[in-house]
Amino acid sequence: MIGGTDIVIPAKGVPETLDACARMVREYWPMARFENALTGEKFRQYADVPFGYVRELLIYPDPEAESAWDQSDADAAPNSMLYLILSSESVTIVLDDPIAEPMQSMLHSIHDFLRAGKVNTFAEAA
Amino acid sequence: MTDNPTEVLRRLLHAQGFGPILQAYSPSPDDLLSRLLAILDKVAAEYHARAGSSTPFTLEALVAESSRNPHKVRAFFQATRLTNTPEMLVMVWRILEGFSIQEIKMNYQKRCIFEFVVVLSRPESQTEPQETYRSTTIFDARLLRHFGTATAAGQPSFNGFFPLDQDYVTPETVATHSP
Repeated sequence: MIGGTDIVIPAKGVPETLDACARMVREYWPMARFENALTGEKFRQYADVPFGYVRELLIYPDPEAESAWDQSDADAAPNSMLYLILSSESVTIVLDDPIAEPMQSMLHSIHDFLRAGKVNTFAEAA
Repeated sequence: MTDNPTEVLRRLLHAQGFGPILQAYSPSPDDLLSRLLAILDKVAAEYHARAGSSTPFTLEALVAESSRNPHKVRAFFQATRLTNTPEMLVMVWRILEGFSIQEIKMNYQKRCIFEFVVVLSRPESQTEPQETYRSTTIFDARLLRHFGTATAAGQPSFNGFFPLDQDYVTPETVATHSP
């Protein structure tokens, strides 16, 4: 299952926000798979994700987790997927358990990354 | 009929918000476009030599990517305002493609030495060799402004190459500094 917790981080609603989140998730999940949550379109790797179009992104840690989710929610392990939702003023991260590792570290990393300052275009909203 | 490359590039730059910079370029906007087209050719050759795959630096490919990932194309063209070193611009594109920044080394001694080295790897591959990019042009250090700065599990991590807000982009001109 998923949906235990929503983490809302203020950020600009621009493609680089979702891109930055995806890049940060890959620090923890290097074999990550991606899916457009609105269309179901799958992306085997980060380079394939069209961040200019995607506003809601599912990220799985690896192909096995993706397959488990594709077959049945009941087979999927906790924290085996992140759901990112980009809005005009924030990005929302939906996950099962934000306290368990590596999710806690991942959330800290994403939060800090989005507030990193002028290099990225997110700072004003933070 | 095939579009004139200069016009395609002009439209692409306008779409990416570079219109004012283009218009202000001296001696003429067309001069800037010609310089950029020449740089793209050199970057494409460097990319092909390194990656051995089809180049993403054709105008058609850049226009398509501009629709899919406008921020990446904007970041790339912002980088061309900071460097015209093909090796550095390929490095930038590899990061935009998703390569991970494994190592950055800078060696500097006043009026004597400058060397900037960036080592990249593909996160999802355990077997592909790392790629090393070098420059001895001090102006190329300005590319660091675009690197995402983060921590991962409490440890330092440069991650990604992002466009600056246009306000932060200085009025430097492309191809001012020779490698």
